[in-house]
Amino acid sequence: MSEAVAYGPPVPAGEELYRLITTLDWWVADEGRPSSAAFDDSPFSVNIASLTTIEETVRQLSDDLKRPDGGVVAFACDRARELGFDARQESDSQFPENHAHAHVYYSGGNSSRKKNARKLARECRTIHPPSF
Amino acid sequence: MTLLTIDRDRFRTGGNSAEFALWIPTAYFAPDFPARVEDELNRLAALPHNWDAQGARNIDPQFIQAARILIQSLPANIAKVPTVVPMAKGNLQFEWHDGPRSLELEIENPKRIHFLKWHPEEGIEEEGVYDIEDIARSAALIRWFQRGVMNV
Repeated sequence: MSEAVAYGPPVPAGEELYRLITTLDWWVADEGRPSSAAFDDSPFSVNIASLTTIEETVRQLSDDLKRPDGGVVAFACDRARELGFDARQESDSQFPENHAHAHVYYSGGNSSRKKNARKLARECRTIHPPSF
Repeated sequence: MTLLTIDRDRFRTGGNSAEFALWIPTAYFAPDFPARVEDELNRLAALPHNWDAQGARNIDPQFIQAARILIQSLPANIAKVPTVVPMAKGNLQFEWHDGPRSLELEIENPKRIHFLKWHPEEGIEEEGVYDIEDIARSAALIRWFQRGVMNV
C-alpha cells in the first residue's frame, strides 16, 4: 500500500522565489543565466523572497553552504506553477532555522520536463551574479 | 578542390565576409573532443555526495559509462565540445549553447537519452526520448546544432 505524501502549504501565487546557484556547472556564463539543470530535480530548494532578504540569502551561500562564489536568481511563483513547478513552504532539514525555505516539486509530465525547466531558466532574473 | 579545415576555437572568421562565402564548412575541427569530454566525465565521477551543497547525489558510475560509450561512438569532428553538466538526481547531460540555439542530451537512464532541441526564435522547442544506442539520432541532433552555428 502506498503512503500518502504530506506536502507543506502552497506558496502564494504573488511570491517571488530565490534559487541559489551553488556550482559553476549550473551557470551558462556566456549568456549570464542559469542552466536548466538547476531546475531539473524534484524537489529543489528555494527561498521565499518575502520571508527573507537578498542579503540574508547571499549570506547563506557564503556561511551556510560555503559557496561564496555562488549566485542567486529569482523567478515568479505563479509562472513556475504554470510550468508545472509547484512551490511548497517546507523546512530545510539541513538548515531548519531558515523559515523562508520552500521545496519546488515538478508535477508536469516527463515528456515536457526539459522544455519547462528550460523556460523557467530563461525567465529567471539574476539578483546576485555568481563569480565562479 | 582542396578541403580547408577551420578551428573556430582558435580562429574566428566572420560568417558574412566575402572570403567565407567561398568556403563550404564540412565539419567542426575538434580533435580533442573525446579527450576533453573524458576529462569532464572523470571530474563528474569524482564529485562527492552533496556536491551542490544542497543534497545532490553522486553521479552514478553507470551513467558515466553510458556517456563515455556514447561519446566514443560519435563521428569525429562532429561539433564543438559540449558542456558536461551533472544533475542533482545523479545523472548528467551534454549541453551545447549558441545564443538562442541550444541542445541538451540528458542521459536519463543508462539506456535512454532525453533530448531538448531548442531555438524558440525559429519555433523549435522539441523534446523526446530515444535509445542511447541510436547513435544516428544523437549525431543528427548534434549536427542540427552545429550546422545552425555555422549558418549552413
